[in-house]
Amino acid sequence: MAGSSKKVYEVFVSKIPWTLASKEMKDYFGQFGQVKKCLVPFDKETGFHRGFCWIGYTSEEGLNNALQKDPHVLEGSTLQVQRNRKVFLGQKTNKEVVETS
Amino acid sequence: MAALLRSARLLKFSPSGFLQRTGTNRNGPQLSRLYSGAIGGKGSGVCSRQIVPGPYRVRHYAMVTEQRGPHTDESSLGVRSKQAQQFDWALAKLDSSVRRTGRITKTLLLRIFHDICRTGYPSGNQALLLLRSCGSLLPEMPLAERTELAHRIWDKLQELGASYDASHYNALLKVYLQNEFKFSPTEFLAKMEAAGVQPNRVTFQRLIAAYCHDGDIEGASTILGFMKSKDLPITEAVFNSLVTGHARAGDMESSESILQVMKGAGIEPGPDTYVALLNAYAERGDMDKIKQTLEAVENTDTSLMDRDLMQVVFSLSKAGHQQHVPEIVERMRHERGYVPDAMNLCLSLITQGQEDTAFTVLKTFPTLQQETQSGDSPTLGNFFLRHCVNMDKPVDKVARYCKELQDSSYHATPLQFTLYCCLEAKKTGTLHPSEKLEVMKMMKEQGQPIRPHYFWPLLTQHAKDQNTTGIMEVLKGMQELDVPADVETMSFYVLPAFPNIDAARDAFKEMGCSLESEGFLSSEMRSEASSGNLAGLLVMSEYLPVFQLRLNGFLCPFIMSKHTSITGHYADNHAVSYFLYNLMDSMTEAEVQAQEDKLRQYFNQLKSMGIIIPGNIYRGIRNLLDSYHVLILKDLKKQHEADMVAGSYAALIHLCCRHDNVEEALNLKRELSRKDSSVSLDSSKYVALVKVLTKQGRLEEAVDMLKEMKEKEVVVRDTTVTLLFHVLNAAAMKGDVVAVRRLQDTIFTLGLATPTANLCSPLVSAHLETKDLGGALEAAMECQKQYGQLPRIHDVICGLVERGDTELLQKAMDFVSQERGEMTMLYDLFFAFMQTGRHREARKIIETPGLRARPGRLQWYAEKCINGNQMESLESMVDMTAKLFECDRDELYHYVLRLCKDTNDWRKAEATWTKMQEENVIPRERTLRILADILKSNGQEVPFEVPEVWYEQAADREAQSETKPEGSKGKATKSASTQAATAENNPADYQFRLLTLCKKGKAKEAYDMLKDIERKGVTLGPAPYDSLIRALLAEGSMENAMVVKEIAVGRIPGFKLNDIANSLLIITQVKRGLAKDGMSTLKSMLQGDQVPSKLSVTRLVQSLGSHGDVQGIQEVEVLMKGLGTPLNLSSMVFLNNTAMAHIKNGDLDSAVEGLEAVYTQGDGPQGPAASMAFVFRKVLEENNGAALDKLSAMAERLANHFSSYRAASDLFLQLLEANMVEDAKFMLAVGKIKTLMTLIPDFTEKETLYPYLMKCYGVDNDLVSAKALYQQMQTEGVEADELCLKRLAVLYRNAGETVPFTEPPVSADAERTRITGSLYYSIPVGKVQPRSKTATVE
Repeated sequence: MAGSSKKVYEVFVSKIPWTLASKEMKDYFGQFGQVKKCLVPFDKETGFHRGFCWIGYTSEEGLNNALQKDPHVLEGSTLQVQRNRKVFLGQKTNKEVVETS
Repeated sequence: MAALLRSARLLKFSPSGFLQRTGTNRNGPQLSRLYSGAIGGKGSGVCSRQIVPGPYRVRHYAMVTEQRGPHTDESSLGVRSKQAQQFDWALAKLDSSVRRTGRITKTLLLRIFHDICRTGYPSGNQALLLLRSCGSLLPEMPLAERTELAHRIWDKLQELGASYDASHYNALLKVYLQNEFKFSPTEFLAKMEAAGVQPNRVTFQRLIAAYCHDGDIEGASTILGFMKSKDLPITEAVFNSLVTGHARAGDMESSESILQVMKGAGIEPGPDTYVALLNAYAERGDMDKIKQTLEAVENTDTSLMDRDLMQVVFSLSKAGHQQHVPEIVERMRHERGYVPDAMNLCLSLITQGQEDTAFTVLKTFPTLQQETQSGDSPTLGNFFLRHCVNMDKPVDKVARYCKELQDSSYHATPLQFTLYCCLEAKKTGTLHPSEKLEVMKMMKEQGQPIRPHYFWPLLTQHAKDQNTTGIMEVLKGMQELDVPADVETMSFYVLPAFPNIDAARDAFKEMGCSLESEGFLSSEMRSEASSGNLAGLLVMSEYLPVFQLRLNGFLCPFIMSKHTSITGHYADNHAVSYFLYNLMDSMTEAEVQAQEDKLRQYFNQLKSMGIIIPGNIYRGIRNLLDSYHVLILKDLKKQHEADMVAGSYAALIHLCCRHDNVEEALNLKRELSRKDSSVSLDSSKYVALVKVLTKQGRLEEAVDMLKEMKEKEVVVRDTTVTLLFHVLNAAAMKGDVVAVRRLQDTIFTLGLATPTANLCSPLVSAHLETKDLGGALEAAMECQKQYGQLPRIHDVICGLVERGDTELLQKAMDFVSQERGEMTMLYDLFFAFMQTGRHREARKIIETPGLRARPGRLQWYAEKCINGNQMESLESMVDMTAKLFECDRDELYHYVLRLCKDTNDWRKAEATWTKMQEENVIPRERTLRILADILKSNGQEVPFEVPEVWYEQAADREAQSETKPEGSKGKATKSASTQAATAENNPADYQFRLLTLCKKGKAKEAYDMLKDIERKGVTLGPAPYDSLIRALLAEGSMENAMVVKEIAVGRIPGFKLNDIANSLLIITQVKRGLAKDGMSTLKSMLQGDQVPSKLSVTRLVQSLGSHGDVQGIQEVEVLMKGLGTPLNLSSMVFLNNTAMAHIKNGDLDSAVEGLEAVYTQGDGPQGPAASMAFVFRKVLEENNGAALDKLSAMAERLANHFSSYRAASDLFLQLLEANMVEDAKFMLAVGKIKTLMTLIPDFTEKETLYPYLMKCYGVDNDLVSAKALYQQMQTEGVEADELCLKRLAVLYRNAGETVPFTEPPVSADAERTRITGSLYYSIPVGKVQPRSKTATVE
């Protein structure tokens, strides 16, 4: 158990329409595997999100399932889904923007 | 394209397909019309088709300048080049917008307007550009607003000193016509006359059009008669106007007959004539006539385009005959560019209240185009919906459009998009919240979900304004729509607006909202957690029974710490980690340390409960990591070994590398890979490892690390390449050739980075460092062969020349010649000779027959000389290149003058000018200007006419027209101010002159003039007052500036000094020693939401320091922290000056204490970068021995006990500087330098240091020490420069010993002057840098 929870298998999702937020993303991407993390950054100035998010799966399987499906169409919009290539930058997270759920 | 427009004169010749779509046959004739300007025929219908408003009329946007004032043509191009650049930029922006869409947005136009205002002194071209944009290019803006904007721009630019000529007035007229602005043509003419601008043909044409718009044929005839009397040609445009004029006067017969009259006059009716006629019929709703006319046109040469028909649609609709619109729309041929044109038509129609017609047009849009291959739902009509929202169209109407769009499959989700526009438009405050809710209700009725985050855009502004009423209103709306406010809504947008939780709770109660919703409670938790308030949380635990939700896990650890009896089931790790993260993040370092035990306990408890701590919390811990001990972390790591995530490992590894703890770093890395082999570190961690391994001589391991980087496909960024260079260079500086080569080869063969000259250079540097010139040459050659780079070849050749190694030199030259060509080789050799002072040899090289000037290389060397302050070298280069083929002499002399300017050497500058005359070089304007600047700033008379900038010319022009023509140019401005007394009391006139004087730096004259104006009781705009105040302050005339301010306040209620003026005021006050006044100015600025300049604050703090005002400094520091936009002031400004204040007060202990703290608590934000050079310098300057002793003791202490060398190096460098000023202090310095050398064993600036020491020994006449030093220099491989050797030689000779080396060929005279005079010679160029570095923080 401890082994699987340490590593996050992440996808990066972009072209998200403004009508969808973290709940919808989590629900949709939940079909491919257990979602452990879902980050949808919102702009505090405008109150709109920035059109992209990160989905973290607990298992590699979830990640692969999500990546295999193409296209991802949600409420009439095609989402762009790709493997997250972000490496550990050792940076402080931007508290203003990132929002967890 | 833009280049064509740089000069106004060119402007009218550049009508090329610029804004017009090419490929239409309309282009040809119109262009010729513009070109010819001929009488009759289609001669001069400038923009005639643009008279009638409509979006599609202004395609000739940038080509209609008929007349320009004479002065712009003559104005000096150099000064205007910046304006020209800006003009180009603005033009390109507007142009691309018009090209793509046929319109400009208000935002873009305003931005350009403000940009131009900010830079000040707008050019005529810029003014024209802005004015021209205020008409039908803004279809989204109501007509009245457009005109208003035009007037605003007109006034503002005039205030800023733009001068208007006929072209500007004509542009304004055009805007009036396009915006259907009612104005009196006679008044307009009177205005022009008053301004001394002659109306021209275009002016009259447009005035006729204006009369005709109102159906005033009589008025039009008057102007027509006037034109005839002036023998001005009557063009097609005039006839077209008359067609409209008669029709509007109700006389269709006369209107129709104009076409015959035209033919009689030999002018064929053009498309515009027919459009005018069609519009006339359209206004009457006469479809039969329209059809007849359209058929008639078919039989002529002319053809009408969609764009023309769109005008007819517009006229029909505006006149209330929209039922005929479909018939016209059907006739459109959907030519290329139909969509943008039709879009603009729709926008104009919507703006002018004809949205139903606009919708009819919208439905003609081709749908195929919209259904792109992306498979996304169609979204046709977004622009339409958005503009409806922006124009506040009624909700039900927009809803109707939405339904129709959806039903006919134009748009899949029109309501959603409308809502988006509504929400987005909140800032402009269009639709009321209730209407936005209305849209959501409709969506709900359609069965579409309404989500909490739809309300966030509505909440953001309220949350920012802490407008709780507004927030509650939105929440009520949410309730009405059955959307529960979730945790995010509450904690990000609602609760922060309330002063505290209780207030929020009360407001909720009042509204009847449930307090027990999950959203409210959990966000309440969050807010408590993020304020680190454990007590609050415990209070909240009373709510626990109320909601047995996911928050259980969140709370329990903390409740446990109090009531360990409670055990629970922990469902949600996220909640726990979120809480911990917030807690960590909001606690200060001290708090964390204080609660360290407690925290550790929590972690243990969590662990025992089986709660896994994921990434977030470790991010929190990582924050701790940077701010305090690694120890705690290692501890933490040990405790939670099982739960460590990769990020934490990476951070720890980096930290260990930074502390040179390579074993620990490698251990951590191994541990990490044991845990999860798929994880890889990022490039900066790898490079850090490579660096530390190389540093410790573990080369093979470093190479393995690089290989691993490649294997793991670590992303290499630009910064990584820079880091790699530093690794290589660090090894090179140690002369470790093997390491450099091994690493470099590995990097390039692995493809981690591409071989650039920069990355190749360390290999050469390593050889140079060990004085192995042969090796350096080989290395450079190798780089050329392998990677096509020839790094540091200049340095190598210089070294060879200096050493006189002809064999190697020959080899190098052959190689360069072969690889890069003979010319390059010759230049390399030339510069090497120049650099090493072998000017005779250099001359021979540069005089090689057939050699051409290479401006780039000459510039490279010239810049090197300018930066290194090597006048002699620069001058000889200029001298030697006199005969060089294609050499830009003016350019080269300009370099010399630049250096003269830097050194403020007016004699040399003057001599340079004479030389230029000798050489018959014609100076460019900028050369003359820089020369004049140097002479002027030294109080010398300028012996030539300085090319003047435009405002001066303008002033001269005015002055000349008013005074006798013989008034010489030099005196012209003076006469301008004296003439002001007799001129009529025209504020604009005064304003202009005042601005001119201010800009010329003649503040006193301007001041006198203002007093004169004031006596007459004339009120000026705020700009001239402001400029004058700034000009006076810049001169330090604070009293006069304050008088002006009083005048301004009296004249203009609410007049305030702006940021710049206030900052200047502070500086002036401080200069006068009025630190207290400066302080109150600063405070009043901050109260007025103004931002002081960095310099003014620094000066103020310095002044407070020198007054011993510790409290004042603290006060300023607090004020600066409260500033919304941080100035990025170094905290050392405050620290250093506080110390100065203490010193001033004689409280040396406090001073030392304050400074020492900076370095002993060294991991603080300033860290080792903090410089206290300022304090040392001041103390040295003030000759404060007691303070210096204390501070030196402190520096020693810091170096000895805390390994913090910064203070010592600062002191050292400041001593060096002081030494330069006072030779007498050398004695003292020997001891100091030596002490410091032992203090700072790895002080790298040996090349700087040794010559100084040698100099000191020279002064002391201490041959023994000097010999020893020379010995040391030789063993350490520090090269002794000529002066050093010379000094040593003098010592030998004084002692009667023979000099054991060749004495440098420096004459005794020259030497003496150098030793006593020039400082630069003794410091190798480029080594001066550390001084300037320390001097930056004051």
